[in-house]
Amino acid sequence: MLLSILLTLNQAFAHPVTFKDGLAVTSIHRPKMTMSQVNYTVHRNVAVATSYVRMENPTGDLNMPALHANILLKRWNAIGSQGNLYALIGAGIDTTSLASSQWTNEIRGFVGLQADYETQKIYTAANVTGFPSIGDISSIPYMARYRFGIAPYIASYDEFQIWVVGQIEYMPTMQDTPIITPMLRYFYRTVLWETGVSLDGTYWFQMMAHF
Amino acid sequence: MLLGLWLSLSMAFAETTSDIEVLVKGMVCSFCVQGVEKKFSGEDAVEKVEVKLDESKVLLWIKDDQNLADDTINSLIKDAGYNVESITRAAAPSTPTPDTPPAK
Repeated sequence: MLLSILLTLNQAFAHPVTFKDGLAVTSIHRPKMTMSQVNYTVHRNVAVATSYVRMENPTGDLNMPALHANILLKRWNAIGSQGNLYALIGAGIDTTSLASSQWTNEIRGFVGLQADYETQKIYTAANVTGFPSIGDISSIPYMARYRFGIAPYIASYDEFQIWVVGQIEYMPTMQDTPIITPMLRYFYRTVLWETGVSLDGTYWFQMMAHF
Repeated sequence: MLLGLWLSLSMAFAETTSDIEVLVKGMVCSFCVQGVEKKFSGEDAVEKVEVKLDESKVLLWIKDDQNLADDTINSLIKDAGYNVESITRAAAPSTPTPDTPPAK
């Protein structure tokens, strides 16, 4: 269950901060999961965000709303390229079992670091995300992810852009082997979506739009 | 006839050439273009904005009798998340800009 949560939440980190007064909407769908996030950039370096996760798991469903801040710690701008370092911090609650279990065990922190670098031809990003539990701080589940993408051609703003992306994820608390997922990323104006299937056969679909 | 041709070419050139050309660091995708366009579109002095992503340039057309100070351009680009490398104006303003106090 936690593996799926981590996968889901991490996908939403693609654009933690946009531009001042910018609104970003992200939605990810997998076979037994839906996740949506809305973030609003209140300052050029800070966005406030709300996320909602719904999952169907063998051990029980999950419904977890979360509130978090996305902080741009550092941005390196150059002609034709951009690098970023982000921090994310907040908390979420699994509302599914609130009535039948201890409250403190259902509250989880939401902390992460992300670094990325992008030009018009290449895109790469790495991040580490952890979800410490208030009820049990002795072990903190975490995940690490790295992805790399290439644009076969360069499109202008009004043209359709395609990226070929490969992703490796490692979650030692859940499984020993990394998950490898090739995917295609499509870009048209201010809408982005990704479709991919991991080597173990799990599809995903992601959509993101900026307003 | 030559005078007419010259006038036609001049007018066409004036319509297609921007008043201000801003070289911007950090723009790499369509999301970047959107943010920059949105920032400048909200300015009263701006008649038209165009982003040339492949050249990392923002082209600005300014309304008649109005101006956009360098400080304002820098601030808008920063709010969009980027940095200004250089600002080139088609013609130097003959009067002080609204954001620039007159010389004493």
